[in-house]
Amino acid sequence: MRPAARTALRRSAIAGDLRPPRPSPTVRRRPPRRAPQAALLALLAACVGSAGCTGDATTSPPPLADALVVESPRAFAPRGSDTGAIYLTIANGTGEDDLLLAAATPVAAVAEVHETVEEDGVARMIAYPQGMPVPAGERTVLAPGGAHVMLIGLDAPLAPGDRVPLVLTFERAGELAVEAPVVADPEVGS
Amino acid sequence: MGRGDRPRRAAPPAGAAASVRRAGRRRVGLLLAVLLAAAFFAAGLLAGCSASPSFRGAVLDEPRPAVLRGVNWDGRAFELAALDEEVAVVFFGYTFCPDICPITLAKMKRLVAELGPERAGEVAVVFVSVDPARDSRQKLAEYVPGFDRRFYGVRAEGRALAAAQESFSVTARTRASGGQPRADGFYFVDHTSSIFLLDATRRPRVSHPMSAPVADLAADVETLLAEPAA
Repeated sequence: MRPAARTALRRSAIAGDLRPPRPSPTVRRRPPRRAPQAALLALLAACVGSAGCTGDATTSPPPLADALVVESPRAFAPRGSDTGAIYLTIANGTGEDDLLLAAATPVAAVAEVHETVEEDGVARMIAYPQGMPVPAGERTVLAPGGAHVMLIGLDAPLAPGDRVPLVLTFERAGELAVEAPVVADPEVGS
Repeated sequence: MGRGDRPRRAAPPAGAAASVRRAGRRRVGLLLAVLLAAAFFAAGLLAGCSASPSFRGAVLDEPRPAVLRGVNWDGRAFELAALDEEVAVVFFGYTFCPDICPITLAKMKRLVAELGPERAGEVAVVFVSVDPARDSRQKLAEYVPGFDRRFYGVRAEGRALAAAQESFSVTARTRASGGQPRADGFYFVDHTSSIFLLDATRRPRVSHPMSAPVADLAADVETLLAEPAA
């Protein structure tokens, strides 16, 4: 299957990214009997080292379903703010590139897809007037400090535990309705 | 790449080179080399995280104390120089900012939790609005204490705000989304998103990007707290 092949490709690419540089040519050419353990240790040390740098977990995500799926939607709107954001991940397993054209929710006057970009320490917001690309075979992540569905003009304050209905419109996949629970801190997801 | 017997490049310690002749000890030597290589590799990666040996953030070379005067969300006058806390964590933003400003405030909550109640009492968290036109004191009073009542939310206008921005080298520019004024009048404020750590003399010493892990912020706060009082 085409989508399956794409997924496999992507996953192997991820595995390739994680592999640390080989320790040394000597070790590679004549591995002594205990080399596997030592190599494992080196690999472990490298993984720990790099995880400490980026702060990212290195767990590989589950394979894509044979459809366009919205994963882990969550809404965030602190008390006293007229704006909010919804974060989510779009897993496009359809085998075809798509575009996120629009978002709508009954809780706010406006819902727009934006992305925060940071240049020379200055953060600014960019919009996607032509739609946000959702490439085939990939997870497009809308996460804090990056892309998000921005809510402007909230009708009422959102409180953790509330659920925000959201309709996303894609060029190919059409309309997709999801519910985003309101969280107190979207970076920890609770 | 090359095959055959090239000179060893894995460079075990000089003392270990002699032991390579004996097969049994060669294994130990190689194992040692691998472990050393792994240790150096990991250490190198970790060292790559920090810009200086003692701080994890970017070290600032600011000779003068920062200036920040305004009104706190509770209506009291705010002056950076008058703070009792030993260390100040300062960042700029606005309440209409949907993404990074509340994310940074939420991160400050986690920083306070990470430091623990005793340490946190020695740290002032200061949010400075770069949008006084929309962020009234009342607006800040609805917003800032929602994260933590101990956080300062400072409103400064005109020259006072300009002076504060200048002393932190912070820029802020009002902009409509996509360059076009919006029908609903909403606008963004592009602004420096760095998190500044100030020492007891209120000099900005370290800056972190908004995406900095809480552990890095906590480590640098601890380093500043451990400095002998000026």
